[in-house]
Amino acid sequence: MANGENQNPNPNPIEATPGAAARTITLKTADGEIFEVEEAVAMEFGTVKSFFEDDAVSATKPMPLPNVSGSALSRVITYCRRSLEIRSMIPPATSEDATAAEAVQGEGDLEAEKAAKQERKEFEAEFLKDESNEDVKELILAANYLNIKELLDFLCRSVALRIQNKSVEYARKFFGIEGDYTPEEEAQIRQEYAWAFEGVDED
Amino acid sequence: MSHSHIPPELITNILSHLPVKSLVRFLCVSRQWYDLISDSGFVKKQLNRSVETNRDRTVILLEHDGSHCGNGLCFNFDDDEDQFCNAVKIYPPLQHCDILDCCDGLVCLLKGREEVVIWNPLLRKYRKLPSEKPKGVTNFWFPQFAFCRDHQNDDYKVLRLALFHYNDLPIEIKVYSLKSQRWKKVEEQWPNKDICHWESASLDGVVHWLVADYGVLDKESLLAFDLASEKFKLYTTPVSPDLNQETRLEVLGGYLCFLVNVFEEYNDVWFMKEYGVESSWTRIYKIERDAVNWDFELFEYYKPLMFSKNGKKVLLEEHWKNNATLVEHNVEKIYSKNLIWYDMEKKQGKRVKNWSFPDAFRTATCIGSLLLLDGDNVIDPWQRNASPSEGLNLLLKAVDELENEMQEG
Repeated sequence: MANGENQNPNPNPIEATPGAAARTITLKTADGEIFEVEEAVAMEFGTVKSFFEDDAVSATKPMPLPNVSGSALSRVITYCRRSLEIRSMIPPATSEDATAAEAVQGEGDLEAEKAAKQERKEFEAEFLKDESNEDVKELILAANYLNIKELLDFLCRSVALRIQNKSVEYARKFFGIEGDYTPEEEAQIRQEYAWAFEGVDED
Repeated sequence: MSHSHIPPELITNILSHLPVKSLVRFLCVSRQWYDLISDSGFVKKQLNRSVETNRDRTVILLEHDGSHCGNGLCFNFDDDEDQFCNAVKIYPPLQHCDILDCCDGLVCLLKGREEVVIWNPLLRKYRKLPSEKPKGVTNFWFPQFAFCRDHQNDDYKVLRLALFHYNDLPIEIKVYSLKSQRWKKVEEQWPNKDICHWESASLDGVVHWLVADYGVLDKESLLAFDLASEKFKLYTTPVSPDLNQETRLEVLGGYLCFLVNVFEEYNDVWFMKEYGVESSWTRIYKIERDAVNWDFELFEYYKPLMFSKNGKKVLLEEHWKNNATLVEHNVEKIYSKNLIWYDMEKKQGKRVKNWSFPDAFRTATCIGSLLLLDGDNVIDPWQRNASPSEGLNLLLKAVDELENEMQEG
């Protein structure tokens, strides 16, 4: 059964049986939406985790998230939920009965890890497929505020992929940056590194 | 929801996932991005990520005319297939040179016995080392170079041994530091050993040679010179030399590699699995005679270059020795005619068939790094012609060449 003191972000697979009562944590977004999230998922958010660690606050009062919108939180929750599911596909690394049992499990573990990796790859490829650049930016800021390392790394990698072959103007627009070189300075950089400006996607 | 700007530490995180070409282009985005990208901490972070993920993994082939290297081709290995496609022309900063070694995206080139250049091919930047003659002696000296990373000092170094064959002078050891851009003499003495093989192997801040006691032919040791402590150390090797075989040192996949070439029979390759632990020498693979179609006439040995992405194959450079050319300054005239993928499980080798390969070449392997971003630009010949200041460039080039001529004369 889920333990109130449980701070392990990896849920014991046994507890995921349907019907078993799971503790939920209530979150309130900047635009007033209320979300009731399974404790295991909410504990993926570093911000939420430390909030409940520092304060022996009851879980009934909604925790305010002033920097996150409802739509962003919804997406974040979807990601973390799925991420937890995938992680639970891999049997825990540390086992009480070591040696012989582990040796036998070795092969099975490798297969499970491979399958989990493939699941994650497919899931991540789909997750941001239809998101606009603005939505991805919002997600990054939300993941940063909520302190979710795994999601943040994934989002950063994804943004890098999106801008990798794009022009300087595209990058400026994406990040909302004004170019602050003088025209001469900019021309000098473009000439010095002309080779890096070849083969870039059309804007 | 108001859109705040993405904070710099997140921008840095995003940028650290980009290949070198994108990063160079994005220097132009803003002054802040220029500072973020050229920051030495970021350069290090980006390099570490490249090493972890093998990003921008590139194989460079410089064509060899039997004597030296010239221009060449660059093959990017970023996809999973380890295919040799998308050849891009590449122009080294030195012509008629030899490839000394490569490390962390940097390639060290040597021309003659004094011109040394450290080159980042993916960045198209280089730094020429200042000339440094051995202390107070005539012209009869021969150099031996090594190029190595000194991670303890966050530096890259070129080691030069100056050997005086016709005098009784001891070997002079000097080290150039890329960080300080200066040569420095090493106080430590070269141990009383003879070098068996001129080609050294550099790994993780240590330069290695195979050495033996003078006159002893059947026993070798591994001599290691630590660039940080500037001290020598000796280790044992797994296999003793013999009449019908040759031993060499290489570096592969981050391990020190010991190669035994039993003439016309097989190539045996060992790793020092735990660096410094002599008992950890482990045989990694053995290429038997039937594994690849060998041509014995001028064929020397298979030099391992890198593992395939899945680690199951090794890319080998088929080394041919040019018997016609005299050994010049102790740099053997070795070149390659083929690259081979050797499958270690199936024990089968397959030559890479690519029509764009030069007939003969030397190879260097690189990964994406921003080192030498503050170096000099390598000017591609076509770029020179296309630039609007072509006249000025041609004039500068002519002056350069005249100066070089005057120096050599």
